[in-house]
Amino acid sequence: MEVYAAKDLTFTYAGAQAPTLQNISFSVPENAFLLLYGTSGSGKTTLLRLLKSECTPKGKRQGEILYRGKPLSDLPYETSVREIAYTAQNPDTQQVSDYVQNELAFLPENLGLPSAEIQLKIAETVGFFGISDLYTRKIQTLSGGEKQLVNLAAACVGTPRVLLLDEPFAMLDAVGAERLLRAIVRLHQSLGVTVLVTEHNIQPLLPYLTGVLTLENGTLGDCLSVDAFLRAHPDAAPSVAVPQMLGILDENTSLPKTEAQARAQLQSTVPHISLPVKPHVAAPAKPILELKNAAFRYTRDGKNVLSDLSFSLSRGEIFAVIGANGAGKTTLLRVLTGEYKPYSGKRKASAELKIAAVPQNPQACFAFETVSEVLNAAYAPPTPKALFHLLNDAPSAAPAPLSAVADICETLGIAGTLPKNPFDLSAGQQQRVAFAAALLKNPDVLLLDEPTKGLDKQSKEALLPLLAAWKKAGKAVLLVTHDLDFAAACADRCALLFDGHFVFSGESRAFFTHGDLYTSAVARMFSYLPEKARPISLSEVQHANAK
Amino acid sequence: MEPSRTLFYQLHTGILLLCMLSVTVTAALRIHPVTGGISAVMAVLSYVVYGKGRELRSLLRFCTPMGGMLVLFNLLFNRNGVTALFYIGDAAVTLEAVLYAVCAALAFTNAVLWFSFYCLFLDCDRVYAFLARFSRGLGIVVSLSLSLIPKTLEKYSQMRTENTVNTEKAHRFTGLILRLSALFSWVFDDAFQTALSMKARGALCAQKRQKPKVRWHMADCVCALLALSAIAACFSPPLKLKIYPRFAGAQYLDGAVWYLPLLLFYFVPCICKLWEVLKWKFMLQRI
Repeated sequence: MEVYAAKDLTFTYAGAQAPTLQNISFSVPENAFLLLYGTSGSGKTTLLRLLKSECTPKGKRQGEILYRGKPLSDLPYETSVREIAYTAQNPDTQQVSDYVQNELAFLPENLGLPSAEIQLKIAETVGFFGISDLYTRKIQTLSGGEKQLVNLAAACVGTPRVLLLDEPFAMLDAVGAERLLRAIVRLHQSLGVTVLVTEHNIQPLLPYLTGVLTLENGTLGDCLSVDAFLRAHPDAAPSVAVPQMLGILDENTSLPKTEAQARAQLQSTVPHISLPVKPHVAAPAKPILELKNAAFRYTRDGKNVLSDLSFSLSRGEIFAVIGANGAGKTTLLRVLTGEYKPYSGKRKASAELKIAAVPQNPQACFAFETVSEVLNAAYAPPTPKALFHLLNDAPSAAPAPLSAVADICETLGIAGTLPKNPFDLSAGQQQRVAFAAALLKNPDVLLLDEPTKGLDKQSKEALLPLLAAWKKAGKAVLLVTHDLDFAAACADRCALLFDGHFVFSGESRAFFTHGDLYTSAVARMFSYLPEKARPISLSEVQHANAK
Repeated sequence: MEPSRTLFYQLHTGILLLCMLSVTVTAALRIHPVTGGISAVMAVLSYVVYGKGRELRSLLRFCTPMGGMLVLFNLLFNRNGVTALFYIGDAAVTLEAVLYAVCAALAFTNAVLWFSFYCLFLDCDRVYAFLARFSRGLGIVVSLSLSLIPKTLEKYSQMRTENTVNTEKAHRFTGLILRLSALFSWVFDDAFQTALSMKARGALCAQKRQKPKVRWHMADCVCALLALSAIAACFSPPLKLKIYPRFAGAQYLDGAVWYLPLLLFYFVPCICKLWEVLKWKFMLQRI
C-alpha cells in the first residue's frame, strides 16, 4: 500500500506571486527509503512540510495529498503525531525542553499517556537509539550531532511509521552524521519505517536508498531507481563522479555506491594518475593576522578550549581549519577577531586590517525585510537618518540593488531572491546571502564559519572561483569547516584542530594525503596510490582526465 | 554538583515557587538592619554551600553599584531623622537617613540574590510541568517565553563575532541598531520554528495532563509552612511594614516571636544541604 500519494499538488506561499511547487504528482510506497533531491530553494522543505499537516506552511494549496488512501487533512492530530515524525534542518531550534529526559517525554506526555507508559516508551527509545549517555544531560551542553540524534529520538518516541527528515546531516561532522545515519537505517530496517529524506551530501545514504525523487524549480521528476538517478546525475556522489570523470564506468554493471566499491573499481583500472603540476609557490608574505601561543578557556576552572596555539595568515592565501563539532573552531574565530582575548599568548593584527565574517548562522546578518536592503546596507552602510527611514517606513517594494550587489548576486545565483524576505529563503540561499554581504564589505580578511552548511553542489562550486579570485586580489581567507571535500578543493594550507591545538598544520596536499581516515572522499578512493601521486579533489581528477 | 542532584532541587516545584515568591517579598519589604543582615548572610552562604560562587560574584558586581546609587539618592533627597551629621546647603543629612539608605540597599541586594538563587533550581522544564497541570497551553506559553531570555542572550553572544569585525567606527550607532533588528528577527524566527516542532510533536494534543509522579514529602510541608509563616510574620501587626524602621533598642523586642519564622525561613537551603550531608554520612556508616 502507498503511504503517500500526491496528485497535481501546487503550493504558493502567502504573498508570493509564483508557486513554489507546481503540479506535482508522486507516490511513496510502504517501507521505502526515498531521497528528495534538488538544488537549494527548489522546494524540498516545502514539499516535506506539506506531508505533515501540523507543519504545513501558510499559503494556497491545490491538489490532493493522500495518506494511506485517505486525505491527509482528515488525519486526526493524534494519529499524525504518532505516525509521522518530522525533524527540521537546524537542531538548535527544535528543542522544547532543557533536559534530554524531558525532551523525550514531551511527545508521549502530550498524547496524554499514563506515567508508567511514558516511562516505558522513554526507556525503549533510549535503548534503541543508544543515548543512555545523553539521557540526564542538559540539551545546551550537547554537540550538534547529539542534538540532532536527540531530536530524532524525541520524534520517534511514539513509534512512527513515517520519518520525514529535512537535511538532517547538514550541520554535522562525519562522526555525528555517522551516528545519526545508523539510527535512521536501524529504524528503517528493523521497524520498517518509511523514510523520506532531503540531503545534499548523499554519499553515505546511497547504499540504503530505494529510490530518488528529483525536484527542480518546483516540478518533480519520476521516481528513479538509485542506479538510474546516478547515471542521470553522476556528479551527485564522489563514488560515481570520479569513475565517470575517468571514463571507466561500465554501463552494464551497477554503479559503485560506496567509496570502498569505487576504490576497488579504480584500483583495478587506474594504476596511475598524472596530477597537475602545481605552480611554484612563493614564500609566504608577511602575516597580517597572527596568534602566538594563544590559550583560551571560558571559565577560570574550565578546560582549555585553545591551548598553546600558534597560527599566521598572510595575504593571498586560503587557510582551512578542520575539526569535529565542538573542537573549538568557532572559539578560534572569535579569538582571531579580537572578540575573545586569550588569557595567555598574543594576537597580532594591524589596526587598519579590515575583517569580515560570515557567521555559522546566517540569520545573524539579516536586519532588513528584503535581501536587497540587507546587501545594499552591507555595501554602503546607511546613515542614522537613512536607517531611521528604512526601519520605520511601511514595507514597500524592495529598493533597486546597487550595481555591485547585482553583480555578486548574479555570480552566487541569488538574483531572484533580492525582493524576498531573507527569513523566507531556504537555508542554502540564506548562507549565500550572508556570504555576499561579507564580500560586499570588501575586507582584507574574510572569515568563514562553516560556509558550505546547507549548500548544494552547484552552490559550493560557485564559491570556489569566487574564493580563488579573492585570493588572487591579495586578500586572505580563513575558513573553519568539517566539509573536507570543500577544504581540499580550495585551501592552500590546512590545519587540524584537536584538543585545543593544531595537531597538523601545513600544505593542504600534505594534509589530505597524510592519513586515510580524516581526509577527502577523493583521497580516500585513491588511497592505494602513493601519497605524492594521490589526487585530493575532483578538480585534480578532472585535470588528469583532460590530460 | 549539578543542582538537579540535591535535596533542595527535589522539593516540589509549587513549593519552590512559593518559597521564591515569599523570600523575595520578605527580603524586599522588610527594610530592617537585623533581618536584612541575617538574610544577606544566609543568601551568600546558600550560594557558597551549593557551589555557585561564580553566579554570586556576577550578581554582586551588579548589585554593588545599584546599592551605592540607592544610598546616594537617599542621602540627597531623604530629609527624615533627628541626628544631623552634616549639611548639604541648608539640608541636613541625618544618621537615620544614612542607616535607612544602607538597609534599603541591603533589602534590594537580598531580593536580587534570593530570586536568582531560586531561579537556579527552577528551570523551564519544571515550570512547564507545574503549570501544565492547570493549563497545558499556559505551561507552554510561559516556558517558551522564559526560554526566550537565555536564547536571546546566547544569540547575542553568537552575533558578537559578526559585530566585532564588521562594524567600522563611523557606523557604530547604525551597526548597533541593525544588530538589534537582526537579533529580534532571528529570535522570533527561531521561536516560530520551536513552536512548529512542538506542534509536530503533539503539543496540546491531550488537554488533560496525567497525574504527576512527584509526591509531597515532609520537607515540602515544612518549607510550605515556613514560607507562609514568613509572609504572615512580615505583615503581622508587631512587624508590620514600616517605611522608616525604628532604631530605639527596646522596640526591637516587640513581638520578637514573629521574627522566628521569618529568620528560620532564610535558613531553608542551608538546612536542606545540612540534612543531606548528615543523611549521607549516616548511610555510609551503615554500609
